[in-house]
Order: sequence, then structure tokens, then C-alpha cells
Amino acid sequence: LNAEHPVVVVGAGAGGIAAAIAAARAGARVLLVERGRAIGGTVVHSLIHTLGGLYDDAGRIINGGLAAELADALLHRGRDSRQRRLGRTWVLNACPMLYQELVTGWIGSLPGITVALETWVDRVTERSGRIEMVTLGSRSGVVTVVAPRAVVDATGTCAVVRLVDPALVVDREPAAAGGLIVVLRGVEPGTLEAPRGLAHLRALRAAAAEGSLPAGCQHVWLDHGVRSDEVYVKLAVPTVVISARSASLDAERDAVVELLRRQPGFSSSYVAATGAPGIRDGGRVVGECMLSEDDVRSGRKFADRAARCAWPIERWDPHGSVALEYLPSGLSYDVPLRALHVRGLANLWTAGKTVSADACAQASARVVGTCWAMGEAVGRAAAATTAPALASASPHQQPQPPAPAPLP
Amino acid sequence: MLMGDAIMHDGSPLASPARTVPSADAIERRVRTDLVPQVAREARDALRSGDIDLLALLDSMQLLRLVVVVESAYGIKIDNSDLIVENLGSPFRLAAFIAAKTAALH
Repeated sequence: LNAEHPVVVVGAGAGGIAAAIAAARAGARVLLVERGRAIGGTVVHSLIHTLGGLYDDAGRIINGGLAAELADALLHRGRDSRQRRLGRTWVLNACPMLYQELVTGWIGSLPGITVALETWVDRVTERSGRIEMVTLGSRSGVVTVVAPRAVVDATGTCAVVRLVDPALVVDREPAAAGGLIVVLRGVEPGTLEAPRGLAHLRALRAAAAEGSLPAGCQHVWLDHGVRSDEVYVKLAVPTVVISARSASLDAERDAVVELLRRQPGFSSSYVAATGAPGIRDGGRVVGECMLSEDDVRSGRKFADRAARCAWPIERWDPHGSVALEYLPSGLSYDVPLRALHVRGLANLWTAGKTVSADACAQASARVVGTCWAMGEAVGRAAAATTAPALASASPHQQPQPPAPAPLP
Repeated sequence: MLMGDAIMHDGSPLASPARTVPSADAIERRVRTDLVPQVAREARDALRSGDIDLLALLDSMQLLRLVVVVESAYGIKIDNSDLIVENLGSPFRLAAFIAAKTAALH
């Protein structure tokens, strides 16, 4: 349809995937750019098995559209998928590998989407309030996309927006702790059942308090997995080591696993998978509208609603302890589309945890279900963005389709 | 609420082991109005009456903190073998459990 003016979506996590699907369904040609080797984002790479933000506090689907389609597909495709109460919230328990399989198939089924893996944005050219050119880098060289219809920064770290103007990004200070998830299998079913299952957590915390485990382990958390023999071990990642898997983090993981193996029910357990450290807040854009803590707490509604959210405000300190502030029962708030529109740039959007919001509002809005809804709204808006006038492109820069990358 | 908040929730000292053995009624009142709300402020209303299911009311993090709060409020040690529904399942059961533990101290 508009081959010469693709919507460029950067980052193939929840926000980016939803944006790509929505834009393609709206008839736009989409180039989905992903730095890593596979699509899926935080859910897949950090092994998130409790998908939040899909339901309200009564367990009803909170956003229709793609988020609801995703929930439906996960429930029907996964034998072990189920809707589950977690604290006072509802989540969808699903295997991260199933999620990856599903979204990869979904993206692959849409002919309008070209996926470029192991590709990143090197340079962005902006002129009079529009992104005019995007230069993509990869191991095989450089590709320039001239006159994109719109660009969606779904990198989770505002990587594209930073290239345009670092002043359009707000970084959290001090940064919130990240998380490292380890999946154990071979655990006796029912081992974590409350209240008896609390003994394992107490053992870990006592060991951390008395020094036989690294001090960082005092914030370790255990959760039921998707299959009955699985336990998900969640380690806090202090912000100083968030950028890379460090040796100390691996040592912490090994110490926790070793201690657990001595606990009843864990004797035959083994590490089935270790995720990449997850980043909760990699910076937020300055949007046309900024979602505030007050908006979240008061359940504010917006005429340009992109997503609805009822997820609690997660207060993570830099060391890794968390406190949940639940919204009043029955309350939800809207994420306005303007909070996903980068200020002053007609065709630059964001989707996902980089939404324009204060740190507190972001700590509620960043969950995966909300990210899908945000991505969908942005994808539609990006597809509807007026194409740039061809005359404005210089004669030497004929619009050209980007080199397609092979699907995995 | 952070772990640390448990100590400063209303300005009253948390670790005040009772000098005399408190009655099970008094313990249950404190469980409902003070100890459980310390770990689950939002549950204050639900705690006002009836023998509610604490395992349904609290998530595991809140339960874990409740154990810590109870231990320091009454100066007792809750063993892993004590972590059973009969001891923690409701305000009534928890109060009876605390009463038995404190009685054993004296």
C-alpha cells in the first residue's frame, strides 16, 4: 500500500509487537527492527510467566483488541495457561516460550511486516518536527529508511528518542532495581503451597540475614511456575549491576539454588532456564501529555484513551524490595494516546514502559497487558500519520524499501 | 508499604512483648486491628468482623511479613513446622496459636 513510507517500529517487545500488528492491520507497511536475535521482549528474555495488566481487579479483561486476543490465544494454545489471582491482582500464567512462539507466528503471518533482527538504529534525522530519515545498523551493513511514515520507539530504553534529543527523555533517579528470574524444574508439586511453603522463603531470608547467602538474596522471591513441577526464583538485581549479567549475580543465583536443593521438595530440582536481567524503567519520554501519580490514584479518564489500567503501583527500591500500592477497588485509569506521542515530533511515538509518565505512574502502567494496548493504539495512530510530501525528499535520496531481513 | 514501615506504621513500638499473658480475645482484637492491617492496610475493613480466611485475604509476601510482625509483637518464635492452616488460617486461629505460644513462654 504505502511501500515507500513504512512505519518503523524499533524494539520487538510487547509495545513494539502490538504496534507492528496494529499498523499492519491498518494497511501500513511495517519494518520491525529488533536488536536481539529473537522477538518477544522482556516477557521472553527475562522469563515473565505472570502476565499483568490484562485483567481488572475483578478478573475481567481490561483492554479489548490485541491484548484480549493475546490473552485468549495464550489460554487456548497453552495446556498449562490459566488466569490466576496474584495478591489482589489477576494475572495470566503462561509459559514465556509459548508466548514467544505465539507472537513470532503472529508477526510472521502478516505480510505487511518485515522483521529485521540483530538490527538497531544508528542515526535519526529530524527536520521541522518530523523524523525524516532513520539509519539502521546491523552486522551486514547500514540501511537508510528515507521518509518513514512514522517511527515508534518501543526499545524500552528510549534509544531512538535519545538520538533525536536526550532532553526528551526522563531517567529515573535512583533507578529501580531489576529482576533476574531462574526457572527450576523437578520440584515436588505443591512445595510452595501457603502457608507451609513460606518456610522456603524464610530459610533463604534467614540465610541472607546471617551471612551464609550473599546479602542481596534477602529480596529473593519464589513463585509457582506454569507447570506443576516448576518454581520461578526471582532475584533482585541492584541497579549497579543491571546492565549486564555479572559474576556476583551468577554466584547469588547458584547459592540460592544450592540452598533450595537442601529444602524439602527441591531435592531433585534443576535449573531449566535463566533469564536476562529485566529493566523496569529504562527512561520515559517527554510526551504531549504526561501521566501522573494523581491520574493513576484518582482513576483519571482521557478522551484519547490508548489503554486502561488497574495494576497497582509497584514501588521498587534500588536494592530490590517492593511494596505494592493497590488502586481502590474497582478503579482503573486511562493512558492517553498523547502520553505516547513524543513532544513536538509529529511522527515519533513510543509504546510500552517508556510512556510519558512520572516514575510512580510508570510503575503501574508498565505491565505487559497495558503495553500491548498502548502498542495497538500507537500502531493505529502511526499508520494514520499523514505521509510526508515526496517533494521534500532530495533528488539524491529516492525513497527505497529497506532490505528485508530473514525471519528466524 | 515497605518492610520497614511495619516498625513505624503508627508510631507505637512494635516489639513490646507482653509482661502478662494476654487473653485470646485481646490477642484476636490486636490481630484484627493492628497486626494484619500492618501488612495489608487495604484489608482493614474486611478484618472488622467474622472469621475470615487469612490465606485468601493475604498474598504470600503479606503472610511472610505477618509472621515477622507476630514474632516481634509477642516475642515468640514461629517455627517452620508452625506454618500450617490450623495456626494461620484465620484471625481466630492465629490468636489461639499466639495465646498457646505466649503461654508456653511463661
